[in-house]
Amino acid sequence: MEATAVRKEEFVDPVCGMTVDPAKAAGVSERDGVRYYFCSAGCKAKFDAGAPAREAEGGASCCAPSSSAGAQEASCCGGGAAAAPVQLGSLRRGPAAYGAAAHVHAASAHAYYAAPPQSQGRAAARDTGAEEAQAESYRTMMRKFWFAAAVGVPLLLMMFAEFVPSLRESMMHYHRLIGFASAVVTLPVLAWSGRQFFESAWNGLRNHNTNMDTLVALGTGSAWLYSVVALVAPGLFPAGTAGMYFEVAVIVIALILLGQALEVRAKSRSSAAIRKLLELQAKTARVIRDGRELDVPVEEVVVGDTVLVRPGEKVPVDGMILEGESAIDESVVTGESVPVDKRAGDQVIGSSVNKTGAFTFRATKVGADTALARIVEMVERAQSSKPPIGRLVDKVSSYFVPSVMIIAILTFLAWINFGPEPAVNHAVVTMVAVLVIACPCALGLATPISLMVGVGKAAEHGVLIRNGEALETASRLTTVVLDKTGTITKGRPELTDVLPLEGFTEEEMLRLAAVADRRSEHPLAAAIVEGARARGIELGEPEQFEAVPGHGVEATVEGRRVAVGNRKLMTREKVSLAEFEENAARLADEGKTPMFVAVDGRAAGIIGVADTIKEDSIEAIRALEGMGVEVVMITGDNERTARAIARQVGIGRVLADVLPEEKARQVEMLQVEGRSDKERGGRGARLIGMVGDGINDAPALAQADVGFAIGTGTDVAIEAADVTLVGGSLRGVVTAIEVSRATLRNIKQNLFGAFVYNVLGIPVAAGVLYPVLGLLLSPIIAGAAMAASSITVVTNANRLRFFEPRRVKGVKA
Amino acid sequence: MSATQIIITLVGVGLIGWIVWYFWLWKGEAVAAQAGAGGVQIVNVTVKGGYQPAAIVVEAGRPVRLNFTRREASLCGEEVVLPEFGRRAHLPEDKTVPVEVTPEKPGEYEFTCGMNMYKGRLIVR
Repeated sequence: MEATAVRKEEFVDPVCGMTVDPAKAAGVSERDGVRYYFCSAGCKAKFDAGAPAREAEGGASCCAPSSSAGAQEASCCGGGAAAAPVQLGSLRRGPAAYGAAAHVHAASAHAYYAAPPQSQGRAAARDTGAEEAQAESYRTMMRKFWFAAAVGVPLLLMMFAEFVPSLRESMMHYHRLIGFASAVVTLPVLAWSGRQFFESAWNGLRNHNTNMDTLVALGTGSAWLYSVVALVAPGLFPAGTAGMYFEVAVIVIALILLGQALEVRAKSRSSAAIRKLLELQAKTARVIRDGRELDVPVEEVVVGDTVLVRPGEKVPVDGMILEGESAIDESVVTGESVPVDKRAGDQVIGSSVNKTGAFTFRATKVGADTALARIVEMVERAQSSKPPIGRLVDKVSSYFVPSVMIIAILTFLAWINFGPEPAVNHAVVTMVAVLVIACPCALGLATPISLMVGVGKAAEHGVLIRNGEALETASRLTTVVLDKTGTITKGRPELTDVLPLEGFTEEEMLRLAAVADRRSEHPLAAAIVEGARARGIELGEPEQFEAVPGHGVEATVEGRRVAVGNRKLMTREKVSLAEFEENAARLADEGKTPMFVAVDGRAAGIIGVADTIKEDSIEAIRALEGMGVEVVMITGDNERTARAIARQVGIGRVLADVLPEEKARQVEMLQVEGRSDKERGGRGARLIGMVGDGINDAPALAQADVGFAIGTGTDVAIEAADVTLVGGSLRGVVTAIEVSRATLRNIKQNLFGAFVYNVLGIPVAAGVLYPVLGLLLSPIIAGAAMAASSITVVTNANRLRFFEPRRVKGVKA
Repeated sequence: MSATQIIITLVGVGLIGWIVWYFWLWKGEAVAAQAGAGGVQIVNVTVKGGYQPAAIVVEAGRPVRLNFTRREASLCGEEVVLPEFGRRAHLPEDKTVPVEVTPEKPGEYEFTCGMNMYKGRLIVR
């Protein structure tokens, strides 16, 4: 399927599942008022002969004989996916949409690569392919390594043998013979084991490009060539300087191959986080079509399908529960390990695990649109972005290799012109050592590999970081502004206090009020009903019910007239408020909304309803302050209510009475405040993180240096946000900052290590220590150091995989 | 300084000059994208010791498809990254991997290998 092919309006061949452009369809048929388009005359014939749609699953047989090889055939035969009957125009595919019969396993991490059709199989298959390729290149490199080592080590031992006086005599005797033999046996090593270096260096050279292989090829190549010239024409060199370095060339190749092989292995480990997410997908789904239960591959679930999920099974795609209830473990997406209770009407997330009950749900998002698929895509995008800290490295690394070549030449010239005898030998050895020890790899890898691990790790904990820049800024945040409603609090009112007056019991008053409120749709009424249920009170039906807009409700319950509502309702009902006042004032002080209850025209009591604080908000706020981050609360509530909540969660600074559209401005003022503070010689510029919901708070999130959107359920990857907290908990902010700090620390360690390594290694290899200590670095040691340096970087980055948010308990490991 | 030393030194200095010119100062020629079906601008890029072509001229606002084909065993080019577009693609040897992006604004966008050793430019006009 060419990427362009899905751009136009398209339909799916009901027989083979291939995508068909109506303008180019080989045939059209109508059945039951539905028009079908076909990829080939064969498909149409089958359909007209009565074949049910989807009969020919995987039916390569339908392919038109004329269809040419390549993409067309692949998309026709390779599909084998089911197509549901298509209402006219109902199954159009937008550019990025993958419909029912998409060959793309849309949740694939690589969905946006627009890979060629043959590779658009199932994600699992492709991932195995990539893994297989990686394993294969590891094996090849190891074989090449062993070959190089098998030749190199004996040569190395012979070189040492020259230092044994008794052997030295006979060795000298056969010097030239040994030399020729060495030249002959090392050549295949260069040609086979070292081939990739030479090839890549040559290819680069032709493109005016250099890379790490250029250095390896130059280093080993010049060592070998010099040795050959010294062997064939020793007369060219001053007496006693015609040394041979065959073993150097071979051992260096062996070491670097070993280093690369280990690197390949470690790298595959660091990208494991994202693959792990994909493995969590359900492979099949049990859908109910035409009253029958069918097990279908998850790719074939279409929007609108009714899907059955039994206890212990995974929810295959995103959707809304139709029937049944259950506790669902959504930790795959939210990082929250406590199962969430869901019932009819609630959203379920694909790949979450159904724990207790069976239920059916209607699929609302499939393929690339599911929460998990979007998370994977977002994480991958973030992983390929660059944090600002990496930009300096880019500058350095683009000049790195040619610079090293120049340093190598200068080293050679310095030794030739100013070095002690045997100057030529020293010049060759140092030049080769410089070429070999320099490691642009360590520099180039330092940032991206840590970023990859860090971003993946955050995702595991339900924290989606948009890009490297967001990660870097998050690590330096000084202030976090929290929106009150929906961020610190649950964002929906809950019953908190039941305060009956004399003559009523708590239970009785609450029951009367709850029954009266039962038919009301107001959130405050719902909170009372929910609260009564939670206390185990049986609720009957009101005999009569009337909602009084802006006031409350009036109803007849158990033969009594019940009014539940605000102060205005009581005035309307001519109920004296005198008895209420004390309690009402206290509730208001606590930031709660008092709901007055009157029975038969007489005051019965007050019910307190409040937007309650999320269980973990206090913990998270404490953790943030423990990390040295100032916490500010912002809300549209009045000062009194805002203070009440702030006191409960331990926030000192409150910005109250802020209209929604002013939030961004308040954030800006905090930023300015930080700047002027710096001018006065204070703590310096503030970096502000803003936490809120992705819709109402979008301008404020955008204004902040880092915007954290609190997500709930399926609305992941919120556009305005730099960081999306999928779990909806404030703990995510803590985790995000912790992961960012850990990742940045890791990147800095890597960069520091790589810089220091090169800055120290290259001069030592060039022989700066020789005049002082008489120390010259063997190119073999240089090769080992170089291999070790890139492995160190990758290994250090992989340490991040063991990152656990420490400060907040209860987050899933 | 002997004559040999002088000659070697001169050769060395010459080599340095050549390196500076050849790797840093040399600028490749830009290649314009071919118009494909549906207004997609198509460019075939061979990955072999670098990107050929390394400079690609395209028009803004229309989708661009870069067909990358890696023709070497070296691992350097196995990943191509378009940082401005947030794209990363794995390039198996000898397989063509199309990467589609739509540059909205004129300017220069880089694409590089995973370690930033190979560099290509997308010149958007």
